[in-house]
Amino acid sequence: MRVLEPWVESPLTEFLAESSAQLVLLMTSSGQVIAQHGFTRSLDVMSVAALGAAIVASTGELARVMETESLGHVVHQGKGCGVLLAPFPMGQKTWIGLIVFGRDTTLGLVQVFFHTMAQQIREAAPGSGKAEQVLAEQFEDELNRSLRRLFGR
Amino acid sequence: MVGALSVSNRYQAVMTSITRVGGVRSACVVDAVDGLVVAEVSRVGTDPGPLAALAANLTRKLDGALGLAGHGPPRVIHVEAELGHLMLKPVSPEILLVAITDTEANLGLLRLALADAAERLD
Repeated sequence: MRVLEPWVESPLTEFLAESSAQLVLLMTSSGQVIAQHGFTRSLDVMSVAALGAAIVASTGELARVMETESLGHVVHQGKGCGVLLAPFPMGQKTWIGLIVFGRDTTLGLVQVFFHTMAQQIREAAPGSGKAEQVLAEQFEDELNRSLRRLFGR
Repeated sequence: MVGALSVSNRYQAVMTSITRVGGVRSACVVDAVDGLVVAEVSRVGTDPGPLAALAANLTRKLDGALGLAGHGPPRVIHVEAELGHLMLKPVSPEILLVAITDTEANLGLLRLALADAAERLD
C-alpha cells in the first residue's frame, strides 16, 4: 500500500482487511491519486485514475442532464471480478474510490465497508479536510510528484 | 394477468408474512451473490444494507465450513444474541431470507414462516 496522506492509511488498511478488496485507488475528482493498494506499475495507476475520474465525471454530467441529484456509485460486475467506483464528499471536494473485488467477497460488503472508510477518512482529515487546490498548470507536476511518492521512484 | 403479483409485490408479500410472526423486528430478501437488499420490511428502522451484506457473507462462510464438514449447504442458520436472534434461510444460491427478532420471538413459528416463504420464492 502507498499513501500520500498518512491519515488515510489506517482507514484504508481496515477497509482492505474487512472487504477483501484486491485493488484500491483513492483519488480526487480531478484524478490526483491519494492512495493505492495492489497496483504494481505507475502507468496502471495513471490510466486507472484518469479513466475512473472521467467515468465519475460522465455519470455526474448524465445526472445533471437527467435533472437528478446524483447517480451515486458506479458498479461494473464482471464474471471474475467487479469494479466499484464510488465518489464521496471530502470537505468541499469530492474524492473517488475505485475498488476491484473478486468472488471471495460481495458488492454489498465492499459498499458497507467503503462507507465506513469514507467516514473514517473524513474524521481523520486535518482541519476542515480541504485539500490544497491543484491548478491546471500544476497538475502534471503534482501528478508526477504523487506517483513518485506512491511508487518510490 | 388478473390476480398476478408483480415480482416486487411478491417479495414484499413474503416479507410481510414473516414480520407477522410475533417478535420479528425486520425481515429482508437478500441477493446472496452480491449481498444486496432485494426487499425488506422493518418495524424498527434497521438499516438493511449492512445487514444484507453481512448476512450474505456469514452464510457464504458457513456454507464453506459445512461443505468442508461434508454436511452440504445450510438449511437454516440461527444465531442467538444477548438481545435477540438472527435467522437466515437460504432459498437458493442466489436468494437468502433474513429475519431479526427480539428475545421473546416465537422461533418455531418463525422457522415455519421462513420455510413457507422460501417455498413461495423458490
